[in-house]
Amino acid sequence: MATLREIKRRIVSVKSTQKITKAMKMVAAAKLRRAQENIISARPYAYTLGSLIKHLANCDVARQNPLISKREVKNVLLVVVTADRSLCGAFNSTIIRKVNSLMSNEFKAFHDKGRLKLVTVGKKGDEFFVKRQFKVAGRFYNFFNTMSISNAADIISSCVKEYNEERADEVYVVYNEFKSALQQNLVLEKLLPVEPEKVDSNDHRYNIETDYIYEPSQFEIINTLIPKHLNVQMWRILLESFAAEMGARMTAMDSATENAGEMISTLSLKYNRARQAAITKEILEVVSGAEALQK
Amino acid sequence: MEKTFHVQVITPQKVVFDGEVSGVVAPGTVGSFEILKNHTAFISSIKIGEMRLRHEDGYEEYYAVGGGFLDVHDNKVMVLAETCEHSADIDVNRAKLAHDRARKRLEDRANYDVDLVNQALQRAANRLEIASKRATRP
Repeated sequence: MATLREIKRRIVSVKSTQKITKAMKMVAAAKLRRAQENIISARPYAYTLGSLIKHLANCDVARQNPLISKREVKNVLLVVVTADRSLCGAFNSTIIRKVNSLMSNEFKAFHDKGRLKLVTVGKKGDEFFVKRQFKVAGRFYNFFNTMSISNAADIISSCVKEYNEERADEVYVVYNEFKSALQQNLVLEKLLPVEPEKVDSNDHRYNIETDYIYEPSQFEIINTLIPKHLNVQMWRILLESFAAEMGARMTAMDSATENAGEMISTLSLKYNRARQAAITKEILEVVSGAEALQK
Repeated sequence: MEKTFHVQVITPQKVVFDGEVSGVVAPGTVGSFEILKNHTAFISSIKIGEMRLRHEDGYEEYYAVGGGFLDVHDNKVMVLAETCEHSADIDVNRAKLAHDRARKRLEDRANYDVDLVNQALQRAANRLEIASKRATRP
């Protein structure tokens, strides 16, 4: 049986771990709130831009834009969005597992021929894939805490460069979508080429027949609109992923704190039992010693 | 008859303005233009410059915009700007610093993307100019 002092030491160490996990939980909760606010304030822009794109991308001129027109797929680029830090439950590992399964299923043909490249966002994914010597076309990390839309623009511009120089014919993103603080959804999305959504013909707003005046020209507007649309998409993805990370960390740290509490209570029980046993033993010794003297 | 219509000015960070005005003057890439009530359906890209919102009583507010789009349909105007600040909200010190930094970088052309630096310089100069203007009453 463990000695009193050993148990005491373990209790102290578990308690300090509990303090850390509790603090991490609080920090994650505060950051989650901020991230949620960011998502909400980014929404109006993303929606309005999305509806503009919807209107324009169905016009004939739009198909001339290389970022919209499809071509034969020889090379695939996959953007993998993970977190910079761990201790957030299964957040990073689900992404990595998904990428591995994509490589052995959907993208197997490309992966086997070495025609699948990755862009890693977030340090954890980066470490994993760089160590295993996958083809990595771009690496972005250590920006989540001071994130701005220019980070999203950097990622997009490296993807667009690969796409325009025909080193990639399709670009996908894997990320964790924020559903609630307790739940994350794993999402695989196609980024390039941009696929215009189908237009609801009852909605006259998007009716191509509505006579719009374009300034400068429809073609030029589309050309400047598409990169902005991509930036906003990526920005949304980063915000979602960050919020999801904080949610995952919060729940992970919450259960860690709870587990530590349970551990402390079983350890204290053990400690008290051991203490009592020691006292009983001592009394017994004293009593038997006294009895021996009397005889 | 009412002469006002609905305008929303939206940036990726937030909704800058949402309300009724009687006129919008915006810096189109092809030239500055003004939108009044019952304008036809219209989409234009806008460049770095000054945007004015005129209220019904003639009160004019100045905004510094950093490029984007403007969409008009059915008496609704949507301004999608990358950045947009009210003249009173502009951080003059930050704009000054950005201005000086861009100036310095232009002298050191080898190390920086000249186009990007020029844009930054324009944005900063635009902010400084608009910050010096006050909202005016007629």
